[in-house]
Amino acid sequence: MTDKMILLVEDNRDDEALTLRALRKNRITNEVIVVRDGAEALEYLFGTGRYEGRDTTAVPDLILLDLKLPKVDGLEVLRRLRADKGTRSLPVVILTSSTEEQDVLKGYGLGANSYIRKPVDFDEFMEAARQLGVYWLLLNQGPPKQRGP
Amino acid sequence: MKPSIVSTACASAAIALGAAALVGWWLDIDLLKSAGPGRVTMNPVTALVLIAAGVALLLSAEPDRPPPARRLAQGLAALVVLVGGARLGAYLSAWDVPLDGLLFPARVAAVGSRLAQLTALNFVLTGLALALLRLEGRRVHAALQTLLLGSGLTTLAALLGHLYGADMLRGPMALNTSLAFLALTTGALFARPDEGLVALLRGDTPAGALVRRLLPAVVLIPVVLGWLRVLGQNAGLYETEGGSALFVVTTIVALAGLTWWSARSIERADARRREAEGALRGSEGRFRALAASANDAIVSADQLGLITYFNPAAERIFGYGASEVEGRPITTLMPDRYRDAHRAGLARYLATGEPHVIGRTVELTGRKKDGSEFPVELSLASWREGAQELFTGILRDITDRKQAEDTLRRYAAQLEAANAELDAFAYSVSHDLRGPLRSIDGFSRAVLDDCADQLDETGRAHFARIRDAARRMAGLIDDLLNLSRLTRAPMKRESVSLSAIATAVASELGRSAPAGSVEWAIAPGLVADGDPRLLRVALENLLENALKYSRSQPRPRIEFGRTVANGSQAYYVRDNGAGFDMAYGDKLFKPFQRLHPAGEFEGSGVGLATVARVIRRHGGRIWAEGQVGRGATFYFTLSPDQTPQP
Repeated sequence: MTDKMILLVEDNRDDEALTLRALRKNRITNEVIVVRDGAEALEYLFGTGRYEGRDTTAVPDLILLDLKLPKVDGLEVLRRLRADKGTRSLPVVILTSSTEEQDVLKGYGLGANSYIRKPVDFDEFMEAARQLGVYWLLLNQGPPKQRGP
Repeated sequence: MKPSIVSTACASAAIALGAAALVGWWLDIDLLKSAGPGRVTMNPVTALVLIAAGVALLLSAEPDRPPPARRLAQGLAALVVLVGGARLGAYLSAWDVPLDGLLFPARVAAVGSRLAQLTALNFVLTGLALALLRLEGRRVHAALQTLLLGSGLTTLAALLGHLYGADMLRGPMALNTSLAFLALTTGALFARPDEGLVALLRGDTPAGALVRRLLPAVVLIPVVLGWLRVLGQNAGLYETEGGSALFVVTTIVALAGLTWWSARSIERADARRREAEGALRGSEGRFRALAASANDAIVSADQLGLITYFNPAAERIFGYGASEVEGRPITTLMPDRYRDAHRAGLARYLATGEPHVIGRTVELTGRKKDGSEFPVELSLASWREGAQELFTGILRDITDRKQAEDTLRRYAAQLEAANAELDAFAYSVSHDLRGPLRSIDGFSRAVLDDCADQLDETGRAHFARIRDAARRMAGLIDDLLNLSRLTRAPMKRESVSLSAIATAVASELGRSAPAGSVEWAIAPGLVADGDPRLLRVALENLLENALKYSRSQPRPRIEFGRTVANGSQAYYVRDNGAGFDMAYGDKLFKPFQRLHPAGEFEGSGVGLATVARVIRRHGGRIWAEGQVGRGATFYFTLSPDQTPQP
């Protein structure tokens, strides 16, 4: 499925493993970068801290964002992402356990492209991962990539 | 009528009589000179002096005339006295002032008109009175009343002389002169309306009423009786001695009757006064009894802010004895910092009459004898007693109420904090409990997928059970969350059509149930006050519940309607399904309580608990009736029970 890259922001190792498994089982073989908290996500995206010097023109084609994260929470990551010109139009799918109305409203309010609740039933999760891959990596026409400096 | 108008009218009458006489002398009209044919004439000098006296009275009728007018009035009065004195002097001595023939001498000489002694005396008396009319002082009052009494009696004597045809004094006063004097005396009396006889006559007292009634009678009865006596004697009915006896007897009878009648009226007035006093004492007694037994402090104060009354409850509440504070400023009962505001408020009220506190209930701070402060609720009333403005306040010690309010506020704050905590808890439950479940299910599936060849049938079945359990637990968590959300979400109250909701829910349920197999009987037009979202959740659960338990019947029937149950209007959902044992009825509405084995009917047991919560949030009640195998009926109300009026 193309050479598009996915950024998975997930602090739970189990969920990370299950998400990766669900993607692989659906034969989504794209590169998946995993960061384990909100701060790391921001550092990766903006090429700072642990990712100092990273070529920030290589932006992910899809961000899977958990909300409840250590250090900087998912909503804050989303807010900072949308505030920056370089990352403003990146497709962000919130992938979380919460169905609190407040979280959904805030997520969309900050410019999330989609909001998906992680199902407990792994069969359902597999199906969700499959549809995500089909939609965001195949069907969806993403924003044009910026050329490097 | 204004007294000054009486004065002015009387003065004008005197002037008119004098002027008429002068015109009579000038044009030689007898009717104007005397008051009737054949009567004594008014001397032209008398007429002139009467006019002067009349003008003097006219100028003095109003109390505040400019000084020139007053000086002119006093000059004219002096002239009147001078003429009268000169004439009297001439009578008493050989020295004669030729006053009689000063005007129209020929005509005066023809009829022998003279200025009578009585007239001269009256000129002196009224002249002096007119001169004193606008002066002040106790002596002046006494002199004025004496002078006017003298002139009045002289005038009365002259008038009676005319009435009875007597030649009482040499050279009698002419009738028109007498009338003029009557007018002058009356006018002068009314020029000082607030003293002497006029004050008494005009007084709003029982004495005034008595004088008004008695004086005319006392004057008129002897006059009329005397006149009748003269008439009778002239007709030869009796001689002088008999006439005197008759006159005395009739006068005694008349005056005795008058006295008796007055005594009666005084007695009646007195009885009324006693009655009023009794009523006053009664209401005073009622007030004292009320105030003494009242639980609230009752404190009265005068317009200086001094305490005039302090009831027993006030003694108890403030710690002062009544004798300690009566006569002391009301500010004694307040903390120092409020005293200036109180004084300013009292002064403002007395000046403008605009109440701020009066007639309302306000919360203030009181101070006890020991200096401790406490919250009071004050309602204040004011009333007038004569020129005094008086105040009575009812004060209630609201320390307990304030404490209760504080406690209530504290509880509300705690409740709010607890709710917020519950919110946070529910959030973390929703997020954190599901994570491990996802792992359990996901990795069970992974084992089944990746290690299928190492597992036998039993192992695979075990993993299937693990996955089942995880999914069921996820369902339970979701149900719990929904239940807790229902409790926490803010509630609206509006008009909601329950019939419409029930119909919509039934049609949704009908789509998932085998078509046409269920008979729905939904009563139309049922409208209630409540939260539309919550009520929809309740009806969904009730109807779903009814469908679930009646689906196994050959002809399922589900009914929604309204009826009177337990004395109040209740809505109900009835089915002809599996029913339940009433012995366990109270378990129906508790979460996760199920009356049927899990395998028999699906569901977590949260549905009815959810319904119960919705109903309770509306202030209503929910209960159920049923019988195993004979269906169930769920009743609910949506507002607190109103006891039916007898």
